[in-house]
Amino acid sequence: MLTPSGLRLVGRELSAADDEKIRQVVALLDQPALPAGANAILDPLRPRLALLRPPRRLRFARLLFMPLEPTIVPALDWHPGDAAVPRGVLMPLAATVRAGLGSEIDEIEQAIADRVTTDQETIAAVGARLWPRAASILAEAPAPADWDSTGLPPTVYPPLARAVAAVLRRTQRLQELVREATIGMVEPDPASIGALLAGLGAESPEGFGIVVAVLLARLPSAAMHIQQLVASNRGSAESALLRRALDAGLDRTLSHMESGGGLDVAVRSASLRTVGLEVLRMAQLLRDIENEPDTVRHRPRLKAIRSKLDLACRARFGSGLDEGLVAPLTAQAPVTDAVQAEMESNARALRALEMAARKVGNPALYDALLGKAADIVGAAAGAGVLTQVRQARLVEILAGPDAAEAVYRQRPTAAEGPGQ
Amino acid sequence: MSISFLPPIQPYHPVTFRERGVVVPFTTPLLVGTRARPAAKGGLELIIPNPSGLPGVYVLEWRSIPRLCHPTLHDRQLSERIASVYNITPMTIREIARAVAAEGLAGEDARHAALASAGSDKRDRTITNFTLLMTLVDQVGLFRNAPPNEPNAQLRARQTVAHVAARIDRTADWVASALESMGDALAIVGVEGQPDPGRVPRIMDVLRGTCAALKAWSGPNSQEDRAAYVRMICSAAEYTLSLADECVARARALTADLAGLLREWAVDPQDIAHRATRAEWLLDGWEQICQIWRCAEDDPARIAALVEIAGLVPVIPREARDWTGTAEQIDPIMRFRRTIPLNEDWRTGARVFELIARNEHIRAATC
Repeated sequence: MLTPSGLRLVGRELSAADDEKIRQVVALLDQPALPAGANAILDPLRPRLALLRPPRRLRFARLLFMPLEPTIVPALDWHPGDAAVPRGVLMPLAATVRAGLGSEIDEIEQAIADRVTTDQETIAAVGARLWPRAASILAEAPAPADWDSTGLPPTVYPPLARAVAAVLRRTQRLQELVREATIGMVEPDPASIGALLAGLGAESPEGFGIVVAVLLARLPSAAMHIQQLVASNRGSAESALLRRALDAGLDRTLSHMESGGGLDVAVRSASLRTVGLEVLRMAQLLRDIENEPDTVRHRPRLKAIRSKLDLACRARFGSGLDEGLVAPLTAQAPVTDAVQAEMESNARALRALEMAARKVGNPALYDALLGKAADIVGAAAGAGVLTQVRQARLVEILAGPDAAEAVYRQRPTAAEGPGQ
Repeated sequence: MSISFLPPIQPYHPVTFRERGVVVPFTTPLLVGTRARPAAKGGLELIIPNPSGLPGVYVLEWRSIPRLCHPTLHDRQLSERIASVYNITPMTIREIARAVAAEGLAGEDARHAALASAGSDKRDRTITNFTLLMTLVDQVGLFRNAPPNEPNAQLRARQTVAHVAARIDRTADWVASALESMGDALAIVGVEGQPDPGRVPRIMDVLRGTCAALKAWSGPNSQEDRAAYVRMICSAAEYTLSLADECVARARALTADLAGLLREWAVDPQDIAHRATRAEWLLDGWEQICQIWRCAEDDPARIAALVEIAGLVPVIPREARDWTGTAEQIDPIMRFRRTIPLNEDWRTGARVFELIARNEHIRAATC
């Protein structure tokens, strides 16, 4: 049997493999019969996995640490005091929670059996039960017996475990805030951010930093509300800690966006359905940093990030157009109901991306791209792949109701032939 | 919404259902909940709920829709076709909307649903017509002592119609045709003995289910603001349901003496047809509300749905008291203090396409 270092060596050799091969290896490693430790083979591949985002088997530890994902770093990149969690401590922490759960673990394992990381409903339901319990356990449990395996000194355990607990304790409410922001109907409420951060003064500085880092990663618009909290409590120890955590969180978020992988993961490789929202969040963060007087230190970095984000958005719009519209329309077969519904959904996602991308790029460019998309749809209708009503529906999403109405009014009447 | 163009917000206390207007199933997010009614000076006018969710409405000329917002192609066709209609009722709006949806302008699901629901309405009418005829045969009782199935149902019906025609001094053809027209009018609520209820009882079941779901979600430990919204919505829904129950019962009671009803039909068919549709007028707007709730998949979405629904709860005009004989005060049910603040841009921002898709989904579910 291979040792962890041997597995990592195999992983390094796999680094050159194509995407499909990597997906196959991931699927193989997710077989229930294989121990979770075999995942060490994936460590050198994690940057590629972040881009590919293959659905993974929903193991206990994976579910447990999902809320902390934005702050999990390779063990070698971690230093004590960082607002981050080294990957090497995840398994020992998971074992601690598992032991603390007692018989409840069986029900949780049963609920996630045969589920994958894209099963949002299961994640929300089981997570809602698991995360608060895990927070209570980690807040008090002593270091696990195998802590040495992490290669970290025992003194690192208490603040790290408490920091993870601080995030897990707030996960449910944080997720609700993220969803509320996504829905966008209820006015963003600074008091909700305050309530989420309440009691942070009692946490370790690491906990403070990690909670703020997770919050900024999931809800960048929170930065502005945190600034307001800092300003309204200026002078207090908690306010100073919050300000430092915010500054470090922004620094980390911007560094992530500047790095090779950051924007690519969030934009170029994101699913078409979610990419618009991701870009909107990033654009909002950049705008908030630009407008807030207390974040002046970060401003010199914004221009380059904005330009990088613009490029990534253009590339994603192009690939989205290809995968979401051009491919089905050039299949040379009349479009079915299901394909039409799928194309409409893709067109809406492209519009959501375009509306967000305009905030960081050249609006005229997106007008031209949308015009090009509408032309592709028109050509498909001309080739008999689309009916005129279906063409009008797609044109409406891409180019607006005026353009759609023009298409609709040109359709043949009942006497001339089928318009539908 | 083009704020500069909007007139002042007006109070909205319709006395009659005609004045309340009929909900038009627009898919443009800014137009959700908009009602159509005849204008005093002729033509139609729009009643648009206050977008802030606060009390009051905007009342605008029908043709001003394009100045208000950029309606979807579906809504342009819908408003264009409604503009030429004089008699605005829930049924006329439904039929026009169904024709627009059947073209595919609200998407594939709505197209299929529109085509299917036209068939389901036709089936309702056929069943009601048949049940009415069989009820008439039973009530007249020409074959009470005859052996079973002799003569057959068709012959029994023909002889009964001829018998009743002679009694009310009309031809058999007139009676047959009147029964068919009465069946068409009553199909929406169904008649006693009908195996499959009509459209209105089906909507009432959906509304009862929605109330139960709202209460179960709110639960005893719900935050006060959520609980207050649920209380207001469910009170209005339950009161509407009780009134609708009464209207359905009264409409069905019309058929207790079919020969007498045929005499009345000969004098004033409109009055009977109108009484048959009262429950539909009462429930107008609630079907959309039920679907908004159904579309909300998790707690944050349900809270948003709750706030949206609170702005759409149909006002019950005082005319309902005349229809049902109730002495209960209607106004207090509608008094409600909004506590969850709305983000006023939510229907025009990045989610606009998602909201249109949701509204099209609702179109499919309510065709």
